[in-house]
Amino acid sequence: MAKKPANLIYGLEDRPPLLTLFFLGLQHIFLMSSTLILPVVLISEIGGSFEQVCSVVAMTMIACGIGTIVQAMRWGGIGSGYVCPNLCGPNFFIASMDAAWLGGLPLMRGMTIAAGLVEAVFSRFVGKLKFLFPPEITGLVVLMVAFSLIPLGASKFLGINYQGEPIQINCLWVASATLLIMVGINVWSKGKLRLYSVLAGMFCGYLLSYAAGLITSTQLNHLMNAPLVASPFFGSILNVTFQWTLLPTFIIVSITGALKSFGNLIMCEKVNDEEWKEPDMQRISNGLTADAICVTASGLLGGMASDTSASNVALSSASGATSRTIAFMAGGLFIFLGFFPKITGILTLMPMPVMGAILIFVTCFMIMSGFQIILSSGVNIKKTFVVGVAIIFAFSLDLLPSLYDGVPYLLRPLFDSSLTLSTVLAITLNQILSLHEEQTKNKN
Amino acid sequence: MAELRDKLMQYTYADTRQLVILVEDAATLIEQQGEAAFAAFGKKNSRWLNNKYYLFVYDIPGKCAFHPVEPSLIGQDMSNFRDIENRPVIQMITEVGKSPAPDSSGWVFYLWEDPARLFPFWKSSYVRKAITPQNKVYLVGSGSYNIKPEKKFVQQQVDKAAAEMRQLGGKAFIKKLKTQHDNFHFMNSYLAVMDANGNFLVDPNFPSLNIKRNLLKMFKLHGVNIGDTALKALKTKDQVWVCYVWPNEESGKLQRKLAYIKKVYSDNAIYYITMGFYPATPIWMK
Repeated sequence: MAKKPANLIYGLEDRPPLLTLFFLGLQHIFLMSSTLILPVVLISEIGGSFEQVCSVVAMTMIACGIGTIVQAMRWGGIGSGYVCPNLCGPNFFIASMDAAWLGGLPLMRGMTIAAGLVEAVFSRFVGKLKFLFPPEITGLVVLMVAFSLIPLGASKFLGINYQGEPIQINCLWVASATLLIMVGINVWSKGKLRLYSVLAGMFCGYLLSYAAGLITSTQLNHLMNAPLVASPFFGSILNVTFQWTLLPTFIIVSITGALKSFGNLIMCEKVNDEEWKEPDMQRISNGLTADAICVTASGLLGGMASDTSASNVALSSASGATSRTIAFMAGGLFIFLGFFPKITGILTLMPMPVMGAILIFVTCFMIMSGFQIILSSGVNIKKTFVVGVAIIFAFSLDLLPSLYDGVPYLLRPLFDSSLTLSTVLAITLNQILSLHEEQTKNKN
Repeated sequence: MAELRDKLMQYTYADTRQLVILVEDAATLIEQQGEAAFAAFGKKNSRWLNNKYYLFVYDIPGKCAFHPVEPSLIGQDMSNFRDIENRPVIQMITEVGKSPAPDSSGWVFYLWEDPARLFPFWKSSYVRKAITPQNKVYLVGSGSYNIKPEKKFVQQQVDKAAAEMRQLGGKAFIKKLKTQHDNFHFMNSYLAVMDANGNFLVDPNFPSLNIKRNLLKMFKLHGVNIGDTALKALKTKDQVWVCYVWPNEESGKLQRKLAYIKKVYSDNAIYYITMGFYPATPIWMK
């Protein structure tokens, strides 16, 4: 039985008052919207129309809303029962872009459905792999998920999108102020104000961004001209194609996404249980199935592939509110808002510094959680090498990617992300270094 | 203000927009103050002259009116100046001013010989026409060595080539491209010309060899025939953007590529003029 940590204001089974629940849900959906810019970029890149952009954004929101609700349920082997919302997955972006680039939206949808099915299969086996994931490896996965948010958070914080662009001083000031507000409320406030630290930071961030000219009149015009209510475009729902040659890429992205969700679900367990010792693999397996359903739903509906959100899990921890009813509220609101282009517009217009500040804020919590999980069962010489070697090579991949240019084609997927590389290295090394322990046990 | 906003909307990258804003503001200053604006342009460590940017000004015949880095050029007729690949750089700059619009603008690409560098480097310059209160027409511009290719650049080069083809006639234009160095190519982007069936008439990969390639047989990657998709789209449209995946010439890795194809009617035949580029990847995705 999980023990509710003392720092939680609303634990997993608590029911916040309706108005509080609404604002907590709202806070989550703002964060879930932070990557809605990805389908906008993707559809614009392939020359899609404004209607297609609206449709894909709306469908992505609806799929993510469904995923968030399903994840919070515990229903016949589906759902972890935690607040672990889905958002448009940044790790799917390049693969989705490649598919859309080659075969338009029908191919992107087909490949997204395939990725969802791959994760569904993976989720059913992950329960049997508990021996591979001692605390130091699960902590490492959480830590690497946090590190994967750094490039996005830091670049948005500085207002830089592409190499060679200058630091936007306006952006830096607004991001710093937004971050300070969120951190300040968390560190110095007492009582329930902490619940809304991100919402308060975001509100001030939007105002400051407008004052600093970071929300342009063109963006506001688009917002004003968007209809208040509109049904998402269902015209081509059966228009799905598939390409075998793209499958390996989508399998890798899907497994990487599943590993990331694995880390997020471990963090959910830890946030909700003061006496957490090791992952509940059955619950994680069910959570991954819920994630797989969300990815498949994204493809079926015509949205962009989704992923569980590390930043939302960290937000729950930061605000001290992990009640599963928040997930139902956030998911429901996200689905509802999919039918309101004007409100969707406000979410997708989230200024870069606000996005950057939030990502930096929530990543701090994830980094500390990762370290805490790694160190939760003490330190020994085996763990030192398992964690150390994995982190060294993961960082070498991020800092010096060209080191691995000569990797044989068959091994390339391993080197596509530092999360995958560090996880595989840590698992392998842990098994090799445990051989001696096993032999000693057998002799005794 | 609205015109500048429309101009800026055409660009994806912030550094391109920054350069456009600089030149547009400089042109506005010339339109207000005439040659008196040059004094401000020459102030070191100012917005106009710093370690990143400097402005140059030419008149319509090609005489240099202002150049803070090479002051010896001021007053000289530079119209015959050519880069290492024989591009008439200043003629390309003054060409922008020949458009009737009082605020016409355009991009010029050339290999610039910088005294601080060992080799000539690709430079992309944004040029804008400015008319002084005394009705003197100047071309003010500024360039960058590190600018990333934009859709607008490729579209401009293909549109220019299409206009020249219409003027010269298809066959004469193709002959010119095959026998003379073209002014359309910049950085890793080359101009190609095909007939209505997708056969390459000007092939940048084989400029001198007599190798016949066909678009329909080239772009089959991951089972998707991009050439077929493009030619089908061109049956109903005069120009299309095509996206595909192609090995990068420098890294050898597969990379997303965009090509602009324009249909031109000339000599009672249909020609397709095309040029492509590799769009930049967001920094957080690397």
